[in-house]
Amino acid sequence: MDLKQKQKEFEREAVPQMDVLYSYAYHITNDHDDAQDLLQETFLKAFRFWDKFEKGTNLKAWLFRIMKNSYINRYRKEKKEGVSVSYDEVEDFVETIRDEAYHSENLAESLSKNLLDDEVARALESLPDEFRTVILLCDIEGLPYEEIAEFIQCPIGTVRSRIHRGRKILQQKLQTYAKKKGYIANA
Amino acid sequence: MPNATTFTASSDFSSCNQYSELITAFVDGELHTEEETTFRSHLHICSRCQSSYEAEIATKNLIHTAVPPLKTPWRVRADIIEKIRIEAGVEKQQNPSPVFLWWKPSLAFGGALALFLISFLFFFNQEKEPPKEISILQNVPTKVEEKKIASSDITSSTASIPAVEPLVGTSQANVLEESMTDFDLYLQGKKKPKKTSRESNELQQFLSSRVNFPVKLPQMKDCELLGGDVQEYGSERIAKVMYSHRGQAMTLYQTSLAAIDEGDIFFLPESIRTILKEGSWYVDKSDPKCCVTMWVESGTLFYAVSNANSQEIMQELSTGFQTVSKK
Repeated sequence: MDLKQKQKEFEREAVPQMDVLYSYAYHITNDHDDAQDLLQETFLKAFRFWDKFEKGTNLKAWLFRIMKNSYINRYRKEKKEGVSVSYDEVEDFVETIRDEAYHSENLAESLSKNLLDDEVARALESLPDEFRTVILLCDIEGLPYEEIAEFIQCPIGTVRSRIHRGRKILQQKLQTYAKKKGYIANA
Repeated sequence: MPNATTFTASSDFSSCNQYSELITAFVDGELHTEEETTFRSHLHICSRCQSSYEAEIATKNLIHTAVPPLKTPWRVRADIIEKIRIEAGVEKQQNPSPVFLWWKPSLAFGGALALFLISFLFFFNQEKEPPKEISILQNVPTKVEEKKIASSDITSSTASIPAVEPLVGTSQANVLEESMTDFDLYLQGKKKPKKTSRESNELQQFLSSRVNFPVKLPQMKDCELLGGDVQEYGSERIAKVMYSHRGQAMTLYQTSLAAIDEGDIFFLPESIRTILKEGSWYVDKSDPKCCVTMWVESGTLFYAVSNANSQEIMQELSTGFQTVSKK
Protein backbone atom coordinates (compact mmCIF):
# COMPACT_ATOMS: atom_id res chain seq x y z
CA MET A 1 0.00 0.00 0.00
CA ASP A 2 1.48 3.36 -0.95
CA LEU A 3 1.58 6.20 1.54
CA LYS A 4 -1.22 8.20 -0.02
CA GLN A 5 -3.52 5.21 -0.10
CA LYS A 6 -2.59 4.43 3.50
CA GLN A 7 -3.33 8.01 4.53
CA LYS A 8 -6.73 8.01 2.84
CA GLU A 9 -7.67 4.69 4.37
CA PHE A 10 -6.49 5.83 7.79
CA GLU A 11 -8.47 9.07 7.59
CA ARG A 12 -11.55 7.17 6.48
CA GLU A 13 -11.39 4.51 9.19
CA ALA A 14 -9.37 5.74 12.16
CA VAL A 15 -10.05 9.48 12.23
CA PRO A 16 -13.82 9.02 12.92
CA GLN A 17 -12.84 7.28 16.19
CA MET A 18 -11.04 10.40 17.40
CA ASP A 19 -13.77 11.81 19.66
CA VAL A 20 -14.10 8.77 21.87
CA LEU A 21 -10.32 8.58 22.22
CA TYR A 22 -9.97 12.27 23.00
CA SER A 23 -12.68 11.99 25.62
CA TYR A 24 -10.96 9.02 27.19
CA ALA A 25 -7.57 10.77 27.03
CA TYR A 26 -8.98 13.77 28.84
CA HIS A 27 -10.61 11.69 31.53
CA ILE A 28 -7.45 9.77 32.30
CA THR A 29 -5.13 12.77 32.23
CA ASN A 30 -7.51 15.44 33.59
CA ASP A 31 -5.72 18.00 31.48
CA HIS A 32 -6.62 19.30 28.03
CA ASP A 33 -3.01 19.78 26.91
CA ASP A 34 -1.99 16.31 28.05
CA ALA A 35 -5.06 14.86 26.39
CA GLN A 36 -4.18 16.56 23.11
CA ASP A 37 -0.59 15.35 23.25
CA LEU A 38 -1.72 11.84 24.07
CA LEU A 39 -4.29 11.85 21.25
CA GLN A 40 -1.71 13.09 18.76
CA GLU A 41 0.86 10.53 19.84
CA THR A 42 -1.75 7.77 19.58
CA PHE A 43 -2.85 8.72 16.07
CA LEU A 44 0.66 9.23 14.73
CA LYS A 45 1.72 5.87 16.13
CA ALA A 46 -1.42 4.24 14.77
CA PHE A 47 -0.71 5.72 11.32
CA ARG A 48 2.89 4.49 11.36
CA PHE A 49 1.76 1.01 12.38
CA TRP A 50 -1.38 0.98 10.26
CA ASP A 51 -0.02 -1.96 8.29
CA LYS A 52 0.06 -3.98 11.51
CA PHE A 53 -3.63 -3.47 12.20
CA GLU A 54 -5.48 -6.66 11.44
CA LYS A 55 -8.43 -5.75 9.21
CA GLY A 56 -11.75 -7.02 10.47
CA THR A 57 -10.74 -6.77 14.13
CA ASN A 58 -11.89 -4.01 16.44
CA LEU A 59 -10.20 -0.80 15.37
CA LYS A 60 -11.42 1.23 18.33
CA ALA A 61 -9.98 -1.32 20.77
CA TRP A 62 -6.67 -1.29 18.85
CA LEU A 63 -6.49 2.50 19.09
CA PHE A 64 -7.41 2.38 22.77
CA ARG A 65 -4.59 -0.05 23.45
CA ILE A 66 -2.08 2.21 21.69
CA MET A 67 -3.36 5.11 23.77
CA LYS A 68 -3.22 3.20 27.00
CA ASN A 69 0.36 2.09 26.35
CA SER A 70 1.37 5.62 25.40
CA TYR A 71 -0.25 6.91 28.55
CA ILE A 72 1.55 4.39 30.73
CA ASN A 73 4.88 5.11 29.06
CA ARG A 74 4.64 8.83 28.89
CA TYR A 75 2.35 10.25 31.52
CA ARG A 76 1.92 7.86 34.35
CA LYS A 77 5.62 7.82 35.09
CA GLU A 78 5.60 11.60 35.41
CA LYS A 79 2.60 11.71 37.68
CA LYS A 80 2.98 11.27 41.35
CA GLU A 81 1.44 7.91 42.03
CA GLY A 82 -1.29 7.85 44.64
CA VAL A 83 -1.49 5.19 47.30
CA SER A 84 -1.46 1.90 45.54
CA VAL A 85 -4.50 -0.25 46.21
CA SER A 86 -4.40 -3.90 45.34
CA TYR A 87 -7.30 -5.56 43.63
CA ASP A 88 -7.85 -7.91 46.60
CA GLU A 89 -7.98 -5.02 49.04
CA VAL A 90 -10.62 -3.34 46.94
CA GLU A 91 -12.58 -6.55 46.65
CA ASP A 92 -12.62 -6.91 50.44
CA PHE A 93 -13.61 -3.31 50.76
CA VAL A 94 -16.50 -3.79 48.35
CA GLU A 95 -17.76 -6.72 50.39
CA THR A 96 -17.83 -4.59 53.53
CA ILE A 97 -19.74 -1.73 51.92
CA ARG A 98 -22.26 -3.88 50.14
CA ASP A 99 -24.59 -4.31 53.09
CA GLU A 100 -24.32 -0.70 54.12
CA ALA A 101 -25.37 0.42 50.68
CA TYR A 102 -28.31 -1.96 50.62
CA HIS A 103 -29.60 -0.72 53.96
CA SER A 104 -29.59 2.92 52.95
CA GLU A 105 -33.11 3.73 52.01
CA ASN A 106 -33.66 6.16 49.16
CA LEU A 107 -29.95 6.13 48.41
CA ALA A 108 -30.61 6.65 44.72
CA GLU A 109 -32.75 9.71 45.33
CA SER A 110 -30.34 11.25 47.82
CA LEU A 111 -27.38 10.83 45.49
CA SER A 112 -29.19 12.15 42.43
CA LYS A 113 -30.62 15.20 44.13
CA ASN A 114 -27.78 16.44 46.22
CA LEU A 115 -24.39 15.77 44.73
CA LEU A 116 -22.50 18.23 42.60
CA ASP A 117 -20.92 17.21 39.31
CA ASP A 118 -17.48 18.05 40.72
CA GLU A 119 -17.98 15.67 43.61
CA VAL A 120 -18.94 12.88 41.26
CA ALA A 121 -15.97 13.63 38.99
CA ARG A 122 -13.65 13.67 41.98
CA ALA A 123 -14.97 10.36 43.23
CA LEU A 124 -14.45 8.82 39.80
CA GLU A 125 -10.95 10.23 39.58
CA SER A 126 -10.02 8.62 42.89
CA LEU A 127 -10.94 5.10 41.71
CA PRO A 128 -8.07 2.67 41.13
CA ASP A 129 -7.17 2.45 37.42
CA GLU A 130 -8.66 -1.02 36.88
CA PHE A 131 -12.08 0.24 37.90
CA ARG A 132 -11.89 3.77 36.54
CA THR A 133 -11.05 2.54 33.05
CA VAL A 134 -14.05 0.23 32.74
CA ILE A 135 -16.41 2.80 34.29
CA LEU A 136 -15.15 5.49 31.89
CA LEU A 137 -15.61 3.25 28.89
CA CYS A 138 -19.00 1.94 29.97
CA ASP A 139 -20.75 4.87 31.62
CA ILE A 140 -19.20 7.82 29.82
CA GLU A 141 -18.31 6.49 26.39
CA GLY A 142 -21.18 4.00 26.34
CA LEU A 143 -19.15 1.08 25.00
CA PRO A 144 -20.59 -2.44 25.26
CA TYR A 145 -18.88 -4.99 27.51
CA GLU A 146 -17.53 -6.85 24.50
CA GLU A 147 -15.58 -3.82 23.24
CA ILE A 148 -14.34 -2.99 26.72
CA ALA A 149 -13.16 -6.59 27.07
CA GLU A 150 -11.20 -6.28 23.82
CA PHE A 151 -9.68 -3.04 25.00
CA ILE A 152 -8.52 -4.26 28.41
CA GLN A 153 -7.87 -7.74 27.01
CA CYS A 154 -9.87 -9.50 29.70
CA PRO A 155 -12.90 -11.82 29.61
CA ILE A 156 -16.34 -10.17 29.56
CA GLY A 157 -17.00 -11.58 33.04
CA THR A 158 -14.06 -9.58 34.38
CA VAL A 159 -15.43 -6.43 32.77
CA ARG A 160 -18.79 -6.96 34.42
CA SER A 161 -17.20 -7.71 37.75
CA ARG A 162 -15.00 -4.62 37.63
CA ILE A 163 -17.84 -2.34 36.62
CA HIS A 164 -19.93 -3.76 39.45
CA ARG A 165 -17.20 -3.24 42.01
CA GLY A 166 -16.25 0.16 40.62
CA ARG A 167 -19.81 1.39 40.95
CA LYS A 168 -20.03 0.06 44.49
CA ILE A 169 -16.92 1.97 45.49
CA LEU A 170 -18.30 5.08 43.85
CA GLN A 171 -21.60 4.71 45.67
CA GLN A 172 -19.76 4.46 48.94
CA LYS A 173 -17.64 7.53 48.19
CA LEU A 174 -20.64 9.53 47.09
CA GLN A 175 -22.54 8.48 50.19
CA THR A 176 -19.63 9.72 52.28
CA TYR A 177 -19.76 13.13 50.54
CA ALA A 178 -23.50 13.27 51.01
CA LYS A 179 -23.22 12.39 54.69
CA LYS A 180 -20.50 14.97 55.28
CA LYS A 181 -22.75 17.61 53.82
CA GLY A 182 -25.72 16.43 55.81
CA TYR A 183 -27.75 15.28 52.79
CA ILE A 184 -27.96 11.78 54.22
CA ALA A 185 -28.34 11.15 57.92
CA ASN A 186 -25.52 9.20 59.55
CA ALA A 187 -26.59 5.70 60.37
CA MET B 1 -17.98 -16.01 38.84
CA PRO B 2 -21.61 -17.07 39.16
CA ASN B 3 -23.10 -19.13 36.44
CA ALA B 4 -26.02 -17.12 35.18
CA THR B 5 -27.95 -20.14 33.99
CA THR B 6 -28.33 -21.40 37.57
CA PHE B 7 -29.96 -18.16 38.63
CA THR B 8 -33.57 -18.52 39.66
CA ALA B 9 -36.14 -16.01 40.83
CA SER B 10 -36.11 -16.00 44.59
CA SER B 11 -36.45 -13.65 47.53
CA ASP B 12 -33.58 -15.33 49.33
CA PHE B 13 -31.04 -12.64 50.32
CA SER B 14 -28.06 -14.97 50.07
CA SER B 15 -29.05 -15.53 46.46
CA CYS B 16 -29.14 -11.74 46.01
CA ASN B 17 -25.56 -11.38 47.16
CA GLN B 18 -24.41 -14.25 45.04
CA TYR B 19 -25.88 -12.75 41.90
CA SER B 20 -25.56 -9.05 42.59
CA GLU B 21 -23.34 -8.62 39.53
CA LEU B 22 -26.39 -9.39 37.46
CA ILE B 23 -27.82 -6.06 38.58
CA THR B 24 -24.84 -4.36 36.97
CA ALA B 25 -25.28 -6.24 33.71
CA PHE B 26 -29.02 -5.58 33.80
CA VAL B 27 -28.46 -1.83 34.26
CA ASP B 28 -26.06 -1.88 31.30
CA GLY B 29 -28.42 -3.90 29.12
CA GLU B 30 -25.93 -6.74 28.97
CA LEU B 31 -28.07 -9.65 30.18
CA HIS B 32 -29.22 -12.35 27.77
CA THR B 33 -32.96 -12.51 27.25
CA GLU B 34 -33.34 -15.58 29.45
CA GLU B 35 -31.29 -14.10 32.28
CA GLU B 36 -33.17 -10.85 32.03
CA THR B 37 -36.59 -12.50 32.28
CA THR B 38 -35.54 -14.42 35.38
CA PHE B 39 -33.91 -11.39 36.90
CA ARG B 40 -36.99 -9.20 36.34
CA SER B 41 -39.12 -11.79 38.12
CA HIS B 42 -36.76 -11.66 41.07
CA LEU B 43 -36.71 -7.87 41.11
CA HIS B 44 -40.50 -7.80 41.57
CA ILE B 45 -40.31 -9.77 44.80
CA CYS B 46 -37.05 -8.54 46.31
CA SER B 47 -36.98 -5.07 47.83
CA ARG B 48 -33.27 -5.35 48.59
CA CYS B 49 -32.37 -5.92 44.94
CA GLN B 50 -34.75 -3.14 43.92
CA SER B 51 -32.89 -0.66 46.16
CA SER B 52 -29.61 -1.90 44.88
CA TYR B 53 -30.83 -1.63 41.28
CA GLU B 54 -32.07 1.93 41.80
CA ALA B 55 -28.81 2.96 43.46
CA GLU B 56 -26.82 1.49 40.59
CA ILE B 57 -28.95 3.24 37.96
CA ALA B 58 -28.53 6.50 39.90
CA THR B 59 -24.76 6.03 40.06
CA LYS B 60 -24.51 5.32 36.34
CA ASN B 61 -26.65 8.36 35.49
CA LEU B 62 -24.72 10.58 37.88
CA ILE B 63 -21.45 9.64 36.24
CA HIS B 64 -22.80 10.20 32.76
CA THR B 65 -24.21 13.62 33.68
CA ALA B 66 -21.27 14.80 35.76
CA VAL B 67 -18.58 13.63 33.36
CA PRO B 68 -19.97 13.96 29.85
CA PRO B 69 -18.09 12.61 26.82
CA LEU B 70 -16.03 15.24 25.04
CA LYS B 71 -15.59 16.12 21.40
CA THR B 72 -12.14 16.65 19.98
CA PRO B 73 -11.50 20.39 19.58
CA TRP B 74 -11.33 21.15 15.88
CA ARG B 75 -7.91 22.68 15.97
CA VAL B 76 -6.56 19.52 17.63
CA ARG B 77 -8.18 17.37 14.97
CA ALA B 78 -6.79 19.65 12.28
CA ASP B 79 -3.28 19.47 13.71
CA ILE B 80 -3.35 15.68 13.78
CA ILE B 81 -4.76 15.34 10.25
CA GLU B 82 -2.22 17.83 8.99
CA LYS B 83 0.67 15.96 10.63
CA ILE B 84 -0.53 12.66 9.18
CA ARG B 85 -0.82 14.20 5.72
CA ILE B 86 2.63 15.70 6.00
CA GLU B 87 3.99 12.32 7.08
CA ALA B 88 2.26 10.74 4.10
CA GLY B 89 3.78 13.43 1.89
CA VAL B 90 0.43 14.61 0.55
CA GLU B 91 0.23 17.98 2.26
CA LYS B 92 0.49 20.84 -0.20
CA GLN B 93 2.68 23.17 1.73
CA GLN B 94 2.81 25.88 -0.93
CA ASN B 95 -0.83 25.80 -1.77
CA PRO B 96 -2.80 26.07 1.42
CA SER B 97 -6.41 25.02 1.29
CA PRO B 98 -9.20 26.36 3.46
CA VAL B 99 -9.22 23.17 5.47
CA PHE B 100 -7.73 25.12 8.36
CA LEU B 101 -10.79 27.32 8.41
CA TRP B 102 -12.96 24.36 9.03
CA TRP B 103 -10.77 22.36 11.30
CA LYS B 104 -9.14 25.19 13.11
CA PRO B 105 -11.94 27.50 14.10
CA SER B 106 -9.72 29.25 16.59
CA LEU B 107 -7.40 30.18 13.73
CA ALA B 108 -10.32 31.05 11.53
CA PHE B 109 -11.73 33.05 14.35
CA GLY B 110 -8.38 34.71 14.92
CA GLY B 111 -8.36 35.63 11.25
CA ALA B 112 -11.93 36.89 11.45
CA LEU B 113 -11.08 38.85 14.55
CA ALA B 114 -8.01 40.31 12.90
CA LEU B 115 -10.02 41.34 9.86
CA PHE B 116 -12.69 42.78 12.07
CA LEU B 117 -10.12 44.75 14.01
CA ILE B 118 -8.58 45.93 10.78
CA SER B 119 -11.94 47.15 9.55
CA PHE B 120 -12.74 48.79 12.82
CA LEU B 121 -9.45 50.55 13.10
CA PHE B 122 -9.58 51.57 9.51
CA PHE B 123 -12.93 53.22 10.12
CA PHE B 124 -12.28 54.85 13.44
CA ASN B 125 -8.79 54.81 14.60
CA GLN B 126 -6.24 55.29 11.87
CA GLU B 127 -4.18 57.86 13.74
CA LYS B 128 -4.06 56.11 17.07
CA GLU B 129 -1.59 53.62 18.44
CA PRO B 130 -2.80 50.05 18.07
CA PRO B 131 -4.53 49.11 21.28
CA LYS B 132 -4.55 45.53 22.48
CA GLU B 133 -7.20 43.21 21.06
CA ILE B 134 -9.13 42.90 24.26
CA SER B 135 -9.44 46.61 24.82
CA ILE B 136 -10.67 47.12 21.29
CA LEU B 137 -13.30 44.47 21.69
CA GLN B 138 -14.48 45.94 24.93
CA ASN B 139 -14.71 49.41 23.52
CA VAL B 140 -16.21 48.72 20.14
CA PRO B 141 -19.28 50.90 19.71
CA THR B 142 -22.46 49.03 18.90
CA LYS B 143 -23.34 51.56 16.22
CA VAL B 144 -21.14 52.20 13.23
CA GLU B 145 -21.43 55.69 11.84
CA GLU B 146 -21.84 55.68 8.12
CA LYS B 147 -20.31 59.07 7.56
CA LYS B 148 -16.92 57.74 8.61
CA ILE B 149 -16.64 55.65 5.46
CA ALA B 150 -14.80 57.58 2.80
CA SER B 151 -16.02 57.19 -0.77
CA SER B 152 -12.46 56.49 -1.89
CA ASP B 153 -12.56 53.29 0.10
CA ILE B 154 -15.30 51.87 -2.06
CA THR B 155 -13.89 49.79 -4.84
CA SER B 156 -16.03 49.40 -7.93
CA SER B 157 -16.56 45.94 -9.29
CA THR B 158 -15.55 44.86 -12.76
CA ALA B 159 -17.35 42.75 -15.34
CA SER B 160 -14.94 39.83 -15.51
CA ILE B 161 -13.86 37.83 -12.49
CA PRO B 162 -10.88 39.73 -11.15
CA ALA B 163 -7.87 38.13 -9.61
CA VAL B 164 -7.91 37.88 -5.86
CA GLU B 165 -5.07 37.73 -3.46
CA PRO B 166 -4.05 34.17 -2.68
CA LEU B 167 -3.20 33.46 0.89
CA VAL B 168 0.36 32.22 0.59
CA GLY B 169 2.24 30.82 3.52
CA THR B 170 4.79 28.25 4.45
CA SER B 171 2.15 26.23 6.22
CA GLN B 172 -1.54 26.39 6.96
CA ALA B 173 -0.80 27.00 10.59
CA ASN B 174 0.68 30.39 9.71
CA VAL B 175 -2.56 31.84 8.42
CA LEU B 176 -3.37 33.51 11.70
CA GLU B 177 0.12 34.91 11.84
CA GLU B 178 -0.31 36.23 8.30
CA SER B 179 -3.62 37.82 9.21
CA MET B 180 -1.97 39.51 12.13
CA THR B 181 0.87 40.70 9.91
CA ASP B 182 -1.74 42.15 7.57
CA PHE B 183 -3.31 43.78 10.58
CA ASP B 184 -0.04 45.54 11.37
CA LEU B 185 0.32 46.63 7.75
CA TYR B 186 -3.13 48.15 7.86
CA LEU B 187 -2.28 49.97 11.03
CA GLN B 188 0.88 51.33 9.47
CA GLY B 189 -1.14 52.51 6.49
CA LYS B 190 0.81 50.25 4.12
CA LYS B 191 -2.24 48.26 3.13
CA LYS B 192 -5.96 48.89 2.75
CA PRO B 193 -8.92 46.54 3.11
CA LYS B 194 -10.15 45.15 -0.16
CA LYS B 195 -13.61 46.45 0.34
CA THR B 196 -15.15 48.44 3.14
CA SER B 197 -18.83 49.06 2.84
CA ARG B 198 -21.95 49.07 4.91
CA GLU B 199 -24.13 48.84 1.81
CA SER B 200 -25.05 45.20 1.31
CA ASN B 201 -25.94 45.60 -2.38
CA GLU B 202 -22.63 47.21 -3.14
CA LEU B 203 -20.68 44.61 -1.19
CA GLN B 204 -22.67 41.79 -2.73
CA GLN B 205 -21.80 43.08 -6.20
CA PHE B 206 -18.14 43.28 -5.23
CA LEU B 207 -18.05 39.75 -3.86
CA SER B 208 -20.25 38.17 -6.57
CA SER B 209 -17.99 39.49 -9.29
CA ARG B 210 -15.04 37.65 -7.79
CA VAL B 211 -16.51 34.23 -7.13
CA ASN B 212 -18.45 31.70 -9.18
CA PHE B 213 -21.18 30.86 -6.67
CA PRO B 214 -24.17 32.84 -5.37
CA VAL B 215 -23.23 35.19 -2.53
CA LYS B 216 -25.85 36.24 -0.02
CA LEU B 217 -25.76 39.25 2.29
CA PRO B 218 -29.10 39.42 4.08
CA GLN B 219 -30.14 42.07 6.55
CA MET B 220 -29.74 40.94 10.12
CA LYS B 221 -31.26 42.78 13.04
CA ASP B 222 -28.28 43.50 15.24
CA CYS B 223 -25.44 42.83 12.84
CA GLU B 224 -23.62 45.83 11.43
CA LEU B 225 -22.05 45.18 8.07
CA LEU B 226 -18.41 46.26 8.06
CA GLY B 227 -16.87 44.99 4.87
CA GLY B 228 -15.87 42.01 2.82
CA ASP B 229 -13.06 40.29 1.03
CA VAL B 230 -12.41 37.39 -1.31
CA GLN B 231 -9.40 35.17 -0.91
CA GLU B 232 -8.12 32.20 -2.79
CA TYR B 233 -7.22 28.95 -1.07
CA GLY B 234 -5.79 26.44 -3.45
CA SER B 235 -8.36 26.11 -6.21
CA GLU B 236 -11.23 27.51 -4.15
CA ARG B 237 -12.31 31.05 -3.44
CA ILE B 238 -13.96 32.12 -0.24
CA ALA B 239 -16.01 35.24 0.28
CA LYS B 240 -15.72 36.70 3.76
CA VAL B 241 -18.22 39.14 5.13
CA MET B 242 -17.46 40.89 8.38
CA TYR B 243 -20.06 42.07 10.84
CA SER B 244 -20.12 43.65 14.25
CA HIS B 245 -22.69 42.13 16.55
CA ARG B 246 -23.17 44.24 19.68
CA GLY B 247 -19.47 44.88 19.86
CA GLN B 248 -18.45 41.30 19.09
CA ALA B 249 -17.09 40.02 15.82
CA MET B 250 -18.89 37.75 13.36
CA THR B 251 -17.47 36.65 10.05
CA LEU B 252 -19.64 34.91 7.52
CA TYR B 253 -17.67 32.73 5.11
CA GLN B 254 -19.24 31.60 1.87
CA THR B 255 -17.93 29.18 -0.68
CA SER B 256 -19.05 26.79 -3.36
CA LEU B 257 -21.07 23.79 -2.23
CA ALA B 258 -18.85 21.60 -4.41
CA ALA B 259 -15.99 22.32 -2.02
CA ILE B 260 -17.41 20.02 0.64
CA ASP B 261 -17.38 17.09 -1.75
CA GLU B 262 -13.66 17.39 -2.29
CA GLY B 263 -11.90 15.85 0.66
CA ASP B 264 -8.66 17.61 -0.12
CA ILE B 265 -10.29 20.99 0.29
CA PHE B 266 -12.74 20.46 3.12
CA PHE B 267 -12.13 17.39 5.12
CA LEU B 268 -15.56 17.02 6.66
CA PRO B 269 -16.67 13.90 8.47
CA GLU B 270 -19.39 12.02 6.62
CA SER B 271 -21.88 12.71 9.42
CA ILE B 272 -21.51 16.47 8.97
CA ARG B 273 -21.65 16.24 5.17
CA THR B 274 -24.90 14.33 5.51
CA ILE B 275 -26.34 16.94 7.86
CA LEU B 276 -25.45 19.72 5.45
CA LYS B 277 -26.72 17.91 2.39
CA GLU B 278 -30.01 17.20 4.13
CA GLY B 279 -30.46 20.94 4.42
CA SER B 280 -29.87 21.12 8.16
CA TRP B 281 -27.42 23.41 9.85
CA TYR B 282 -24.57 22.26 12.02
CA VAL B 283 -23.43 24.05 15.15
CA ASP B 284 -20.18 23.32 16.90
CA LYS B 285 -19.65 24.68 20.39
CA SER B 286 -16.61 22.59 21.27
CA ASP B 287 -14.56 25.75 21.62
CA PRO B 288 -16.28 27.84 24.28
CA LYS B 289 -14.74 31.04 22.96
CA CYS B 290 -15.86 30.52 19.41
CA CYS B 291 -19.25 29.64 17.93
CA VAL B 292 -19.15 28.00 14.50
CA THR B 293 -22.29 27.37 12.50
CA MET B 294 -22.43 25.77 9.07
CA TRP B 295 -25.21 25.26 6.57
CA VAL B 296 -25.91 25.04 2.85
CA GLU B 297 -28.34 27.22 0.99
CA SER B 298 -28.94 27.86 -2.71
CA GLY B 299 -25.80 26.05 -3.78
CA THR B 300 -23.54 27.92 -1.38
CA LEU B 301 -21.84 26.62 1.72
CA PHE B 302 -21.99 29.13 4.59
CA TYR B 303 -20.18 29.12 7.86
CA ALA B 304 -20.36 31.76 10.49
CA VAL B 305 -17.63 32.20 13.08
CA SER B 306 -18.15 34.46 16.04
CA ASN B 307 -17.09 35.22 19.58
CA ALA B 308 -20.59 36.47 20.37
CA ASN B 309 -23.18 34.49 22.29
CA SER B 310 -24.06 31.51 20.10
CA GLN B 311 -27.80 31.75 20.74
CA GLU B 312 -27.83 35.41 19.77
CA ILE B 313 -25.85 34.63 16.65
CA MET B 314 -28.27 31.85 15.70
CA GLN B 315 -31.16 34.25 16.15
CA GLU B 316 -29.44 36.78 13.93
CA LEU B 317 -28.72 34.22 11.25
CA SER B 318 -32.27 32.91 11.37
CA THR B 319 -33.59 36.36 10.44
CA GLY B 320 -31.43 36.40 7.34
CA PHE B 321 -31.31 32.81 6.17
CA GLN B 322 -34.15 30.55 5.25
CA THR B 323 -32.33 27.34 6.12
CA VAL B 324 -31.47 28.52 9.61
CA SER B 325 -34.95 29.88 10.34
CA LYS B 326 -36.90 26.83 9.27
CA LYS B 327 -34.99 24.42 11.54
